[in-house]
Amino acid sequence: MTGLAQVFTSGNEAIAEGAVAAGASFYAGYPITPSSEIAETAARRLPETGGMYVQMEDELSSMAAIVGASVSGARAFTATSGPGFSLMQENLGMAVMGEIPCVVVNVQRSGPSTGMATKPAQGDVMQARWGTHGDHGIITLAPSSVQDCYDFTIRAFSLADRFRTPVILLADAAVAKLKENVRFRSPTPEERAPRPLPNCPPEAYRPFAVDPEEKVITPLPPFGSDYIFRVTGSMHDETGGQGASPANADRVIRHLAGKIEKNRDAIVRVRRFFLDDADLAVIAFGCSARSARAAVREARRQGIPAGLLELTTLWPFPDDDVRDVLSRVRGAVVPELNLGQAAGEVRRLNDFGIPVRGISRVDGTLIPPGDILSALREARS
Amino acid sequence: MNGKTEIVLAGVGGQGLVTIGAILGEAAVLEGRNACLSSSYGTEARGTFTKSDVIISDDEIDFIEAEEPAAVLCLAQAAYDRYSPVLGPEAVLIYDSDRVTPSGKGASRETGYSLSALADPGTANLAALGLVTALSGVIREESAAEVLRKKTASSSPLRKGSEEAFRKGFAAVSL
Amino acid sequence: MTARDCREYLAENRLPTIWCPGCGNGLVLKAIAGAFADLGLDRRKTAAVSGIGCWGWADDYLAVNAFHGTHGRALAFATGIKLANPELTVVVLMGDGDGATIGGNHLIHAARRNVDLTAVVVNNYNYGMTGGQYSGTTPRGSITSTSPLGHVEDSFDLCALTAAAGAPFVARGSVCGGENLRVLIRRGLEHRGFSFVEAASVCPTHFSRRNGLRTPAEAFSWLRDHSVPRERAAGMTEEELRGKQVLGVFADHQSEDYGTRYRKAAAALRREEEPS
Repeated sequence: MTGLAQVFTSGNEAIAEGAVAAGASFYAGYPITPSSEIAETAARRLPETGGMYVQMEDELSSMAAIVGASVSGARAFTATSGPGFSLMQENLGMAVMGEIPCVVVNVQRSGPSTGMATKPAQGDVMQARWGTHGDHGIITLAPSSVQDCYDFTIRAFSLADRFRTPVILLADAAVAKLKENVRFRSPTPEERAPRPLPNCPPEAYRPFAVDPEEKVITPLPPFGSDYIFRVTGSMHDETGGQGASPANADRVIRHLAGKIEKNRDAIVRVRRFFLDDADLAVIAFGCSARSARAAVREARRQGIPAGLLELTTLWPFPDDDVRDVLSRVRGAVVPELNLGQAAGEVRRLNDFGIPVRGISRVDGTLIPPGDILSALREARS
Repeated sequence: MNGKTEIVLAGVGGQGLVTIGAILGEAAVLEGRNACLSSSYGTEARGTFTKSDVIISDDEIDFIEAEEPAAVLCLAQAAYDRYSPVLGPEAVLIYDSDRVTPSGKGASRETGYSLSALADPGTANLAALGLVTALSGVIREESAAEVLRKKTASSSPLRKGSEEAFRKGFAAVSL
Repeated sequence: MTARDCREYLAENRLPTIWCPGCGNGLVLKAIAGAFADLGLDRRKTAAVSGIGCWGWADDYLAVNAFHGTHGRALAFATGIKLANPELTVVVLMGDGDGATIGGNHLIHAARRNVDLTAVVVNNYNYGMTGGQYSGTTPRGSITSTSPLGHVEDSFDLCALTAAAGAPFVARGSVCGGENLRVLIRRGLEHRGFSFVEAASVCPTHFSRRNGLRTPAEAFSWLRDHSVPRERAAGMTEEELRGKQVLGVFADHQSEDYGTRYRKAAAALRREEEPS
């Protein structure tokens, strides 16, 4: 990896390159600021590698097309921003209910509605979790650098296939438009591994069979193989047939949440900076984690024992890591470009009664490290 | 040059500031350093205030925007008016004297150059890159030239005469 | 491929259907299974993509790969399914709600984009499953549960719409037309590119009943009496054609489909990039 040359490119391009490296062969999307370079890079790169790009009439159909392509066996993805992400929620739910792997990139911009198209925000944290209706589990990753954009996209495909679920890469305009040096490493064979096929005879295949322990996720063969099956967004039994009995509906909904919840160990990742002896913790993600890192470094220089917990997985929320950090410090600061969406989650985990202070910014500009530093100073006194 | 250097490139949309910011960053990466470029702009492709922040460092770069720029390039009056009053004493401010009327207050650390005297309108941004490169010393002249040559040969090439404009801008500083 | 029995393509263990007595859906289902049989399609290489509504249940009764998606988006799911695996024969099952109303934009863009799909829209002129509300094909003046005053909007002519949007094969049949529907669907499946087949149908439970046709028999008779073959319609005045369904083939030309065009262009690009 270290021998590989570094290139200087944007988060958006790194996301598209990460997808190509992961073996993605299908992109459907509708251009939208500030994510359009992902579409443009996919349109240029996919035909070079035997893949296909299609620009759909809207985000409803873009989301639908990638779900369809995934059922045909492709690693498929789309990219969008707020307004488009809102339109995608319906068929994101289809992917959840049909247990169809796919990767959805949301480059967050200032909202609601059209908002400020070119300005960064982190206001879609809860939308990523609950944007589509009904109870379900979801995986959401948050990159804070161009390198993360590349690496997390590869990981997103791998997690999507492994858990038969849509994975949301929740980037933000600051990181996606940022240019940085990045290494386009080769994915590991495991990261590029094709989806497993079922090992039962075709007539015995049950596309929605569930392991109550959620250790084994039923493989999803592609349409066109020997396995003939039905995928549905309606409540279904193990065969994909109608299954609206109370017992079955209960089983399915608990499975959709449980397959993510019970596999937290394999999904949740965080980064820890200077936390070992920290008295105060900053908990941050995405572009705000960059501000936080600068603030914590400066705090250390000034003799303030602060540390940073960077949440690179947002959903499932890193409950254990956050609780562990909260149990060791005297106060926590949660900077984010929204009115406290992650801070609320942190407070939910605050069984220790320590002050948890949110720093919210919703004016389309980044949080200066100085604001976090001030909050740390105040938290100390 | 060691440690961290921040440069701000400010003007209006369509002046090619993001392009030269990317060249600075790429040249720094070529020299084995870390670099990042973040831009602030409006939804219009042309005409409104924009700025690009370039940070070049030997260490990991944390915050992605310039907080204490060592050099600021101003290619529009609005850019000059924003930065001239707030720059630190160590910073240099470079402006296009064709478009900017200086206030006179920061004269000692402000230098104006007529970009139209250095390059065609199509390559004026590269002449400005030459000025910034020479005045900041943040990257080597040859590193930028190498990136320029690479970009001239790429699928979306820079305009003809880009390297010449860059060299002219660079040389103008030592005159 | 050799002709087979249409029952091979029906999931007989799931029959009988949930549809009301006298519904036209069963006839369209039989026509589809018949067209599959005529062409001897490999069930493993065939996919039925459905939307939501009464007709959205149709895929449940077909013994091929099936994708039962969301309301109005069937064509978009099918676009991904077909483009990612060009070996598949993909039939898209939509009602007039799916195809002409909530999914109307997808319909015209699918016709324009020309992905190799066969869309079968069963048009019963209202939303049957949700209680008989009006749709984009409900005729002006009709009574539905949401147009008690008589419908004030004009309706889409889906064949004219898709033909104008560029679909290379466009046809309309009727559930009163015997084997004709099966033939049209077969021709649609055989036609490379986007094919559109509308099946004019009845909804005896809601639409027909609300508009004075009290039994399924009356509904079918009405549809039969208000259907005109395209050839005969050519000699009729606009006044004479008002309230009638014109049946026949409205577009039948060759146009290279999206997947073929894209793959050719990509292959040419890759040849260009190979070092000579």
